[in-house]
This record gives sequence, structure tokens and C-alpha cells, in this order.
Amino acid sequence: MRLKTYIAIYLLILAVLFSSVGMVSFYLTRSQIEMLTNKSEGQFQAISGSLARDITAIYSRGGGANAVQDVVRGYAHYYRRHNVDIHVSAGSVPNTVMNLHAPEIHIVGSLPGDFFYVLNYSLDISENIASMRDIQSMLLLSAVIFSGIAAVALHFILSALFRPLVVVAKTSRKIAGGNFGERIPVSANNELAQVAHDFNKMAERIEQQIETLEAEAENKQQFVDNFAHEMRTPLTSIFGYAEYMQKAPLNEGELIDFSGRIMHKASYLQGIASSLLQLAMLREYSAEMNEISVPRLFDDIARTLKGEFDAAGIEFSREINAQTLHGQGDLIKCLLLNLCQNALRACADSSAGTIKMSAQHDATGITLSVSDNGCGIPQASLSKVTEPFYRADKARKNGGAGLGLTLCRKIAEVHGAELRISSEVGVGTRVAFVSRGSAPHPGNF
Amino acid sequence: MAHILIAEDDRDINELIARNLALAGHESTQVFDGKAAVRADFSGEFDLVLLDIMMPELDGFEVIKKIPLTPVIFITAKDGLRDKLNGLQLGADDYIVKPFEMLELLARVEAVLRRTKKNFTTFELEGVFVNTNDRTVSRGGFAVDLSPREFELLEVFIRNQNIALSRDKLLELAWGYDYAGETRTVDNHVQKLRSKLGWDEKIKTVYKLGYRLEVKTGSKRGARNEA
Repeated sequence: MRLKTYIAIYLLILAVLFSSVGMVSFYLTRSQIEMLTNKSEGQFQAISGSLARDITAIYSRGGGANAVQDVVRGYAHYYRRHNVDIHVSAGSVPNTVMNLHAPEIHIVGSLPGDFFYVLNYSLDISENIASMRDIQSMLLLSAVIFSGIAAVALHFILSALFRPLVVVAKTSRKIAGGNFGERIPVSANNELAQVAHDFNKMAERIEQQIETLEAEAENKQQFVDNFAHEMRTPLTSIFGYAEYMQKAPLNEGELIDFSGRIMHKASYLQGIASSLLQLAMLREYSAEMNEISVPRLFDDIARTLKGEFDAAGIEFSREINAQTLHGQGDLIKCLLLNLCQNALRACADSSAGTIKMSAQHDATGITLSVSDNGCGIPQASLSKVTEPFYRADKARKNGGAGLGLTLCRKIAEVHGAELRISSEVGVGTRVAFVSRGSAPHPGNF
Repeated sequence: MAHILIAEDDRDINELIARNLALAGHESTQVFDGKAAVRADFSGEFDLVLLDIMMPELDGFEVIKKIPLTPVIFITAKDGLRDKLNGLQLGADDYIVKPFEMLELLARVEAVLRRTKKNFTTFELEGVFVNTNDRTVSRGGFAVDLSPREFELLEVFIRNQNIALSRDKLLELAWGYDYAGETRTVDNHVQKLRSKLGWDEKIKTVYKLGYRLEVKTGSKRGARNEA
């Protein structure tokens, strides 16, 4: 690219330079020759005129041919000093004829008047030609010198112009090599700076895209890993106990114990299956919204979970500042049940667990929330808890498969609401379903 | 008989492994997290650790770094190649992926114990004494003459004691994969073993399945360290 530009510009310079040198020397030569022919014509006229007058005078004095020759010799002698050669011969030519015969200009013509003489005039222009040659070679020499200077100057100018492009090329090579954090330094404020700026923007976009893709891939991998774990752990128990029952000698107690374990694991798998199914259905779901009575809803939840709360020694309270809620009853109930069950698990290790379910009404809409004083969620996990199968506890010790909050988020989305989770380790967790007063989203998330 | 540490956070699976090991006559100690596993191993009394990878407190990869002297078999739901390589690089002796079969688990345990010279070489049951090193069997002090195939079958029964083995499984284990025999052959050999050893009540016929050598667990299997 740079070499091509260099060659093209340089050839252009050479063409302009040498063609102008050629033209200049051509016109110079032509005008010089024109000047010389004019000069020699004038001289010829002058010489032939004064010769004719002299010869007329000689004849009127009665002079002969010898006298004429003397006069001619005198002229010839005089003009030789001006590089002019003259001689006169007897005869006549019809016209005056001029010939350029380098290095001489010849003019032949009859003398004016009734003479029988022909004047041969020749001007030696070799000196003029030599000086013209000098000028031409001077011109050529300066053209050659100038083209040399132009070659060097052009090289530097182009390098300076192309430097930003070289930087762009280097940077893009690095980016192509996978180093997406690379950027072009933008210094000047010209077209190239604009290009560099746009290029940087593009690189930034690519970097972001790739980060997003990597994060997505990681999430997917995490999902698959978690799913595999979630399936295999109960399956291992089911298969293992069934195999044990088939192959090992058993007593009645063991038989009941093992079949109980198998049934427990099977219902756990059943739970995962129905959660996944529910999630899949919510994706296509358009909720039929009704007015739901909040006190009745809370009563329902409290009745369903009473046994579990009592067994765990949980102090359960309700706070109702909103009477109705616009939404899909079963889904909202499912959401609250899930949140309460999470709260129960969070309080499993504490002796004085409290769980509070509240409904608040304000200018923008309704907020349902479940708060507990349980173990809390580490800050780093907070943004991931709604991902399917995610569990803050890496070993996945307690509780469900990690689909509960995913389901809750989906339910919130279907209602055009937002699921807000705030938590502090050792203090407790609050999960809020924040519904804007405006019409909920028609679904299809 | 070996003493095996089970480190697995899922209580059902932990219990299942313990019961399976008990059938094979091994004694086991159960722990449910990584730290407890490291603490338990400190006593140095275990011949083998069955180690789950995803565990609370310390995961299996961390635990194995802290217990370099005890043989380890990883048990995990992860079956990515990377994890396998990681596990074996860290010095695990073997690797079992959930869900696993009982026989596979016991076979691998047996294999690692054999490599580490902790498996049984003698076996005694109601007057019958078996030595797998010099392949001799005696009953009430008198030598019993068994054909090589009968001895193979006996060894399979002892290795998989208390587990019902199908006739096909017995063919595979005692005769070899490529044996083209019929399951009747197994019945004949089992009959011979029963009469030669007086084990009519010991080798039970399991309805619709096969045979099982029943041994009261935790008593008569002897480990002899050859070192």
C-alpha cells in the first residue's frame, strides 16, 4: 500500500518534472532559432540593400567589376567578425531562399535593382547552439537533482502520513490474535483520529460481546453440571438401595427403611421435574389476572406451612397493608410458598427463627415480601441465586434443587413485577415481589 | 477386612456405601464433610478413603492434598474428563461416577486394596479355611480337593459375599467374559462346592436371580499384610 502510493506519486512527480523540462527546452530552442532567423534575415536585407547602393555608386562613377569585388571583400571582412560569411557571385535566382543548416543559416538571393549578382549569406550559429545545449543540460541536471530530493522527501512525508495506519494495523493484528483489550491511542483530531476512535469503539463492542458469550457459556456449563449433579445424586440413592434390596439379605426394618429412602428420592426428582415443567410452561404463559384478596392468600400460606413452622419452632408473623392484589392466584401462592420454604431452610440452624410475610401498598404499586433472620446469602452469590440449579452452598447440602428462586423470578416476570433480593450473612434475607401499579405485562417472557 | 473412611455429604449415599462395604466384610467410618474427613484420617487407621468431590467445608480435591498417605477413590457426580485427570493427577487411586453399581464399587475397592496389599488372603467360615495365596482349602482340618474352576468360583463368592450374583455374572467373573458355557454349568459347580464344603445353607439360592454366599458380617475375613 505504502510502496504503491510511493511509486505512483514519484512517477507522477518525474513525469511532470521531465515533461516540463522538455517543454521549456523545446520552446527555448524554438524562440532562439526564430530570433536568429529574424536577425539573419534583417542582416541579409541590410547587407543586400547597402551593397546594391554601393554597386550603383560604383557603376555611376564608372567603376568596374574589380571595384565591386573590393567593396564585397570589405563587407565580408567587416561581417566576419560577426560570424557572418558573405560572398557575391554573378548570376540571378528567382527568389530569396533561406536554409537552416546547423550550425549555419544560409540565405541566397539576388541583389535588389538591375544587377546580375547573387548574395550568399551564411550566419554561423554554433555558439548559440552550444549555449542552448548548456542550458538544456543545466535544466536536465537540476531536474535529476530535484527528483532525487523529491524521492527522499516523499519517503519521509509518506512515513509520517502512514504512521497512524501502521499503529492501526498493529493493534488490529493484536486484537485478531485474541488480545481484545488492546486499543489505539487517539492523539490528533483528524480523519484518522476518527477512524481510530471508531475502531476502538468496535474493539470495545467485540470485547463486551465476547465477555457476554463467555459468561453465558459458563452459565450454561454451570447449569449442565448442576443439572447432572441434581439428577445423579438421587438416582445414585434410588439405584443403590434398589440394588441392595435385590441382592443383599434383608430384614423387615431394612426393607421399610430402604423403600422409604427410595420413595423420598423419587419424590425429590418428581419435584425437580414439576419445577422444570412449570418453568417451561411459564415461558409460554399469559397469566389470567384477577383481583386476589391478600388476607385470604396469607391465611392460605400460613395454613399450608403451619406444621413446618411449628416443627422448626419458627415465629411466623404477617403484616397486611394492602387488601387486594392484581395477579394470578396460583402463581402468587406458589411464589410465596417458595419464598417461605427458602426462609424456613435459612432458619434451620437457628433456635429463634422468625419469618415475616408482608404486603405493602404505596403510590407506585404493591410489594409482597418474605423476610427471615436466618443464615443469609453471601454477597457474591446474590446476583446468581435466581439462576436455575444455583445454590449458594457449593456442596448443595440443604434443601431443594435450586429451582425455587428461578421459578419466583419467572412468576414475577409474568406479572410485570420485579424480584428484589437483599441479604446479609448472619442477619437474614428479604425477598420482595415488587409490582408496579400499572397494568402487568401481558406475558410471553 | 479393611477399615474404610467414607467422606460423602449425601447421607443416603453415605449410608448406602457403608452398608455395601459391610456386606463385603469391611468396617467403615462415615463422615459428612471435608474437614471431618481430614480429621478422621489423622489417626492413620484407614486402609482406604472413599471421597466425594462436592462437599461442604473442604471439597474432595482439597482433602486429597491433605491426606497423601491413604489410598483414595473419588466418588462424584461430575464425570468431565478434566475432573478425572485432575483427580488422578492429585494421586487418587481410582474414580467412580455416580450413579454406580454395587459390584462396581466393591470391585474397585477390592482392586485398590489388592494393589495396596490390604486385601484378604485368608477366609474362614464355620470350619472351612481358604487361603487364596497358595489356593488351598481345608474343612475341619482336612484338605479339600477343588478343581481350579471350583476354586475360582469360591473366590468370587468370597469376594462378593452377601451379594446375590446372577448366573451370568458368575459365568463372567469365574469363567471369564469369553466363556461360551451355559448357566447349567454354574448350577453344577455350585452343587459341587456345596457338597464338598458342606455349605448347603451358606450358598443360598436366590429366587429368580442366582446365588448368594451368606456370611455374618464383620467377623471372619482376615487381612494379612504381606509387607
